[in-house]
Amino acid sequence: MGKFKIKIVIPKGLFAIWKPVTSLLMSEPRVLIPFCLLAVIEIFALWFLSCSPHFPINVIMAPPIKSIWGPTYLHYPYIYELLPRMFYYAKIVIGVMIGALTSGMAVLMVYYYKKSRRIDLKEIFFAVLKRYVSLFILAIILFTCVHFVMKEPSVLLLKYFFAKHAKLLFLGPKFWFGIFLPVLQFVMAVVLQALFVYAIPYIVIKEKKFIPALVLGVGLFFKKFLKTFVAVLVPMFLYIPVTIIRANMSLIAGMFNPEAIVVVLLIGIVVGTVIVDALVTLATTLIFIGAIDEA
Amino acid sequence: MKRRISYLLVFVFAFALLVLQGCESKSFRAEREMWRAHKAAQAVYKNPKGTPPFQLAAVQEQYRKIIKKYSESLFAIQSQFSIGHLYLVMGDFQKARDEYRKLTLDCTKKGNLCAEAFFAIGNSYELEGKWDDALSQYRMIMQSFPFSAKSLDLPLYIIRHYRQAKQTDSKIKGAVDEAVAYYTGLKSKSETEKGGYILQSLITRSYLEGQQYEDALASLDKVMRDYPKYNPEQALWIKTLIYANRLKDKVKAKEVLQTIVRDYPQSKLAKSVEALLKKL
Repeated sequence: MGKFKIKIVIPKGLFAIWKPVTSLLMSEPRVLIPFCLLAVIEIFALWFLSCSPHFPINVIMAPPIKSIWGPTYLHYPYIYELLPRMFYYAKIVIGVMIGALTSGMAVLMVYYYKKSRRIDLKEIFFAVLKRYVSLFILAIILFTCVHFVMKEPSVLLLKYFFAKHAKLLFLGPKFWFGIFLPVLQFVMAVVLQALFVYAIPYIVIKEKKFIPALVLGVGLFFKKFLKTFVAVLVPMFLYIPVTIIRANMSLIAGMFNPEAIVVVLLIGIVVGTVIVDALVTLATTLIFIGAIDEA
Repeated sequence: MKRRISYLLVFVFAFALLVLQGCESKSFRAEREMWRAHKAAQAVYKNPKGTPPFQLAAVQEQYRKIIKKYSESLFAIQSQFSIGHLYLVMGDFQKARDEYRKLTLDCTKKGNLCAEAFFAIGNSYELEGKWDDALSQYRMIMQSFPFSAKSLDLPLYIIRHYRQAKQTDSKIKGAVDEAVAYYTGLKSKSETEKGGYILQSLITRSYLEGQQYEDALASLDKVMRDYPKYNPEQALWIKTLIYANRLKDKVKAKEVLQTIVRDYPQSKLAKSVEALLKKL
């Protein structure tokens, strides 16, 4: 454990951050373990949900599905129509309960590498576990904000156009729903993630309490605005193809099989959790370490 | 040692989950196979003339496998119908009828199913342009399965057919009379009050389908008189619509609306009644 000595150079320049991130990943791929762990849990959740109509999982899943969405959704192929929605909620729960922990672990692992300290996953796990309550609250706030940002603009636009308005600012619903809304949601997701991203290292590395960590994190975000924004934005671009595929899931299900939805969601887990989340966390942690070293 | 035990437990747990995954129910498997067969059949329905025989045979084979695998289930019945439908869109009417007839083997126990199968046979005659043969099938259903859902709908179906085919008024009136006689006959055999109410409502619908509005109004009066506990304001509402939209008698329509307001102030129709009163 920790036999490689990683030389972390304080990243300078907007895109310079990716060089140390790549070299960190190449020399110590173990930093991906927390993300892989989270991905495995998400895959398990996906498998569990897709088995909702079958015994013995239906004992737990059938009653809520029946009462919320109706008994039709326990049949083929309707269960696969419902799956993305159920998985979206499951991902929120997993993200809050476990994602908070794995992100903290990844941040601490990078910090230990930087300080050339021995990496012991068990030790890191228990160190992060001590800060779990703060990380949990942070995750709840982040997911609530993202959920609100994802839902509310579309609700407002729907209300506007259902009120028999043909146009908004000289543009029809096609523009607002087809172009404006996805772009707005994407940008807002990037901004929100960037806004809270430094609170995690403040909690696990600097061992700050929740409120000071949040305030300091937001402060650092504004101080390193462009760098942080790029560090979050660039990996998020990788997720765009997945978003496009997910938006056309019913089309894919019709072309192939309804089970194709499970494959799309699996790809989403690999790209979103293992690649995007890992790159964002590693890049921002390196920026954070650079910033505190500067200070 | 402890670590080995925990690894073993994780392995057993994962293995158990994988085994349980095999617990997919038979009906879920059947639903999946039906979906795949229907998907393959869609290609035939979209382009029946361009479908090569081997493709048709392949789709029908999928359905036959389901019939064999899930016999006595709803999936088997649906599959048998689908095989018939496929022949029907291909224009092979006799083969379609042969397939539908396979569903009429146990009519004493499965009256509704048989009625549906004979109706499909009637449809095949209709599509072939043999209305008289179709009509005799429909009449046979009405006589043999009198209280099935299909036979209750058939007299109305026949009236609609004559109207769509722009038949003479006397022919349409004949079909209406036949429908009324049929429903009246069933009404005398009906043992429940609700059955009587449903059949009297069907008589009203027969008059409406035949555009015999005065008779429809009289039938609605009979519904309200004989079955007062079955939503009489609904009958009044239909009377209003007949007066307002068909007979263009606004005064009568208003009178009936005012009756609803006076006698049934708590009715669910109150808002619609108020709106129509303002309009009139």
